[in-house]
Amino acid sequence: MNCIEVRRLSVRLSGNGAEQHVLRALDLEVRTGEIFGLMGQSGCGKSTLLRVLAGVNRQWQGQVRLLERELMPRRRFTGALRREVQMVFQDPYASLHPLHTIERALREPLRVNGIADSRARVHQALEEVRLAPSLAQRYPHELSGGQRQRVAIARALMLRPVLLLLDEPTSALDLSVQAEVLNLLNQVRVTHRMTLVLVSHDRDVIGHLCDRAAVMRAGRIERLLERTEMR
Amino acid sequence: MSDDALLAVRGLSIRVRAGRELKTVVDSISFAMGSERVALVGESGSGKSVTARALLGLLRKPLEAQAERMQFAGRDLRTLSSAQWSRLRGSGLALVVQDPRHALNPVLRVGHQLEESLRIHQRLAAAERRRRIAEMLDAVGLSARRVQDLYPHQLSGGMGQRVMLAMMLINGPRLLIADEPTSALDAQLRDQVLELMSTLVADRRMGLLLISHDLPQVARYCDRVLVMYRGRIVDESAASQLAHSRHPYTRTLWACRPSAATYGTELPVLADWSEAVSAGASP
Repeated sequence: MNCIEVRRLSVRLSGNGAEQHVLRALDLEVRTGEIFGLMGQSGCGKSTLLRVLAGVNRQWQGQVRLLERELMPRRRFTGALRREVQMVFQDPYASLHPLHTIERALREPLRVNGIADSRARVHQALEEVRLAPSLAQRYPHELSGGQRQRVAIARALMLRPVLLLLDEPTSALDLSVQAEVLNLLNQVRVTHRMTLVLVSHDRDVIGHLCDRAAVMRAGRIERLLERTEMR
Repeated sequence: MSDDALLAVRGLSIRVRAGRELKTVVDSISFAMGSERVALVGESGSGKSVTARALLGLLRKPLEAQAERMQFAGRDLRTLSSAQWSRLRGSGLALVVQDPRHALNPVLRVGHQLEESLRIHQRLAAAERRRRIAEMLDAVGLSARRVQDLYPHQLSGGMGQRVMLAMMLINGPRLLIADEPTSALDAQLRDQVLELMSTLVADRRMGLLLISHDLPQVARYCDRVLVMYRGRIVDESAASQLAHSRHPYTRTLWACRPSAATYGTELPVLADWSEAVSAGASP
């Protein structure tokens, strides 16, 4: 069964009167339960593809089926999709509100989805990503880069997503901290039975984490790599 | 520590003043190097970058450095005036930083910037300057004809780092300090730039102090490695012997890098070692 099915997906950017294709009739299938990697050099379209799958970029053409539901271009996600698809960004410093405590950041997704929240739930989420519950009252600038990325992962997990999208989640981190976050992703993937799509320019990170991967180039998938082909 | 060392540092401490408190970020480190390639490796907060800045006389308040000895090619760096520093930087010691697009002047063409650094340090006829610029750009794998009329924003990351390298080497310094020179580049480009830097430095019989957080990567391009942790040099090893280091911190840095070969395994992390440190069990 497929978690993601993309047919002839195109994204165009227009500016200065010129039109540029970021994605060109791209086809992709991601199986339920796998960790799928997207790699390629800067500008190949890998982050744009992820942002379409997250519902952040809605200006596309083609067919996108996510968790057995057909997406419509230019439409926001509705219903369960808003909880079931979550995203973690490269720089948690930019994605966590600087004036909100960690507790508030973690409660926000529950509040906006009308789910009962509690301090106990926040503490449980922090423990799951191996952070001390005492960090709940701190602000993002009081945490290290690795701790902030754990908070961003904890926030994405608050809504028990089925599909977790990760955009270069470890490229801003030290190697030893990257190792901790990669270990954590492998653990939560099992405990939450999620499908993961990971964008990275680092073939070592993809090779360590992913069951399959695609190499992108100029808005298309150039090559699909099975596990045995990863080096 | 021999007297003919290119760079000799003894008891270098760097502190930062925050209000009434004085926090030590580098704690009395000592090392010496000749015309060889040495990696200074550590993670965020280890003090490696401020060490580089201290060696170039670039520390600014609230940071202050103190050393029993800090000598470059026989000169005492501790007593240089700012005019002497300006002459030494570029011609004796040069620095390559992480992102060339921040270090190059955005409104000057590449050729102009290279020429400027030649003018500052040497008196040469215009034709000779042009010849040297073309030669230097060629040495870093760029075509002078194609590159010298470009502005920094027109360069790709890899090209920018090559231009930066050309600019730093054009006056023939004896020691190149490179602070994370490849972290802003795509993975494929990193090896190319490190390879180039390492080769150029060896060909010119210069010293290279390569600062990085990525131990396995820089080890391939250096002769010796110094490992920093929380302001101290905790381990020192020949690059070829790193895989056999007995120091727990070095071992983790060496092994925590992911790859296709580590798929399905848990990567080693620092937790045990840093807990040991905070408990006061280690140095």
